[in-house]
Amino acid sequence: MTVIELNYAEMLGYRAEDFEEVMPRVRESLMPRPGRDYKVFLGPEPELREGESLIEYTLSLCPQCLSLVRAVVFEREGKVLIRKRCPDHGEFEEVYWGDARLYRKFRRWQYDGRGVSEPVLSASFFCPFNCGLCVRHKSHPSLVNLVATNRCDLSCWYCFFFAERAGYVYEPTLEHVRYMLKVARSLRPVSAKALQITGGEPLLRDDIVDLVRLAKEEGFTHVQVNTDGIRLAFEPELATELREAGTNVLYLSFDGVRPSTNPKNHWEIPYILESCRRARMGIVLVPTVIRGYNDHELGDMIRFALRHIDVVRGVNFQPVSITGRVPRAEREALRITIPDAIIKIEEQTEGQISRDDWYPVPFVVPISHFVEAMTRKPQVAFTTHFACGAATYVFKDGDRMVPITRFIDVERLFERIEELSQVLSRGANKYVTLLRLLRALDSCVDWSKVPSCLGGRGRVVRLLFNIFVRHNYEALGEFHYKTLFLGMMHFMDLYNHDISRVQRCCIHYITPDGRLIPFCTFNVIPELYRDRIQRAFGIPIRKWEELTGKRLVDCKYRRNVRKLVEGDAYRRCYEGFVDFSAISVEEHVAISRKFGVPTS
Amino acid sequence: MAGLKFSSYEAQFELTLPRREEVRLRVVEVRGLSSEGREVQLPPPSEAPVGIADYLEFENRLVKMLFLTLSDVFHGQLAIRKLVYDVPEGVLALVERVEVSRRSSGSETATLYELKYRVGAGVELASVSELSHTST
Repeated sequence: MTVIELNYAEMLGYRAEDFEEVMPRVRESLMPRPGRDYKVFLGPEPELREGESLIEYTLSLCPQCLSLVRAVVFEREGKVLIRKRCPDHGEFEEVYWGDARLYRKFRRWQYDGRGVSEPVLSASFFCPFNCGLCVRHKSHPSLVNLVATNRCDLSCWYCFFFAERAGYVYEPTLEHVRYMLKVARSLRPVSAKALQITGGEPLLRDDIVDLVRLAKEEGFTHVQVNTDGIRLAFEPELATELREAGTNVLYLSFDGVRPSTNPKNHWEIPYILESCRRARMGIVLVPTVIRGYNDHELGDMIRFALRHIDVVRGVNFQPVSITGRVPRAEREALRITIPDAIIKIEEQTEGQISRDDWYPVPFVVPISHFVEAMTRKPQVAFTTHFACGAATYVFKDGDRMVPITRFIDVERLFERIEELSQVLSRGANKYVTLLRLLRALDSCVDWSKVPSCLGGRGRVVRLLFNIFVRHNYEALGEFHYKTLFLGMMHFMDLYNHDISRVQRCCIHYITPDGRLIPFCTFNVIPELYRDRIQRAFGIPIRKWEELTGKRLVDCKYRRNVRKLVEGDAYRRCYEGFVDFSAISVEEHVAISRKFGVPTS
Repeated sequence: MAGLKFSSYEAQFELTLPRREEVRLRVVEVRGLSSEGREVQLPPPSEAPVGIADYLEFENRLVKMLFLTLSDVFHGQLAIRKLVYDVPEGVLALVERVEVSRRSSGSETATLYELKYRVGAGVELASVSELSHTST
């Protein structure tokens, strides 16, 4: 089947029902096709060499031609690596996880999810060329990404995604978004409940507040906006409107505490924080971590977050995903994996947050099992692959950072919760089981070490009880106000791609043709997914300008560095992090311009 | 419908996630059903090499029986055998019974599955049901 030529300009007046009718055919035409788009080589598995020990074999992609190939995951000199061989392009070897000991620890927590009972697609092609979702997928989406626009107010040198570089504007109408959200909400047995509105820069949409409202109308309980936040620095009322419309949290790009490490929005961050404070909007800082660039600031980023804990709920580090075809030496210079970042945090916090304080994302699955057993309803469960992410919680105790693991025996607690959920699902009395859970909670806490900010014993137990048992969103909110969530999410690239991670992915993109595509195929194989789909639904720039009466270039941001660095909020925000006397305004300007943001 | 073939797969592999398990699939029987529901004996199968399309078909059955994918199967060593049956004319459905034994530390299970296929222009998997399950 050839790709259907769409004219999105003619679909601007469609209702959600119209999209529902048309999209199955469009989807079919956009699917990757064997031969045309990819090849499959399922030959013998790659061999191990001296000094290497097998962990497991898996399936991966050739970074050159995208062929599906067999791969081996193995340990060598304390690291975990992946190696694959393409018959046409030879061998590729990459660090998979920088620390084998942490890999073995994390591997203990892996659960199979339920997948989706009524998949959007049949499994006609090999994974990952059939994404959207099909019966092979082992998890349900726990966070759905919606690309609201590919317009951006910045033109970062490394980004190929924004409208000018793509050559078209991708911006689904609100009715089209409604259709997409309905698809995500209709998933069974567990419908999507959390939405991330992303871009481009989603705040460039004039109707962004309506879009948030729409997501709430469609039943999303958690809505976050992934943004550089620049518009909020100058329009504090927009933060309030977003909050009032139902935005739960801002996912704010933040790559470091100094201008040199965060040239994207360093100067605006203080004002964004102020706007969010006023709007009572929580922020999760999202640093992309690159070796040799900002990996020396991980500890400072956490301290910065704790300084602003009244508004910052967490830091979600994202080790760099190396896009495109990059030579090995260059990859090695940039590559940082989850355990590398965790170990750097240990070093940069003088052991206050150690490597042993982190757990893989699926560690919390017993909570879902317990709530399921209590309610007899399928629950969202983070059954993602153990190697995809890590997390911990940190409390501020005076000047000290206290990870949750220092006063709660979390392993014993979660083992107990899992046991109790099994007892419950075999028919045990709910109230008796709840009492046993309370006892377990109490016995797993070392009360002498609980940070004072958490209050007394009764309050802590009640808080944990609400989170674990009631799955109470407000309780979770209260928990977050007192703690800092620290997360890591390492999205894959073509070099470290592992199909078994794709199949367990919990973070999906909802696409305009009604597919739900795992993050690491949507972005890692853009020629088959992201770019192909968005191009099909894009409007050529000139046409878009005619239709809207706007000029694309007008959305580009011009920075007034002097005004920003001279503001009180700037100094208050970065006191102790930035040596104000050491950097002149001219140097600030030079950093901004070098990154590609013009100044006025 | 002349010349229609049906492939049956026997396999042995090792799973590594979420736990280590040895899995063995053995085909117990394959029989045909006519339009009147009458049982039709199939001629003995012949063994054939496994091609790329077979992996996709094998996975399709595996997902529906065990919620396992090729990626799971390829975590360890896979031994797979393909048995090809000629489908006689007049056969409108096929019934395949597959015994799956799974062994992990300290436990072993054996489950008998029945897979029903529609026979038309091709052979298409219609349903999978579990007939019996024993554990030791």
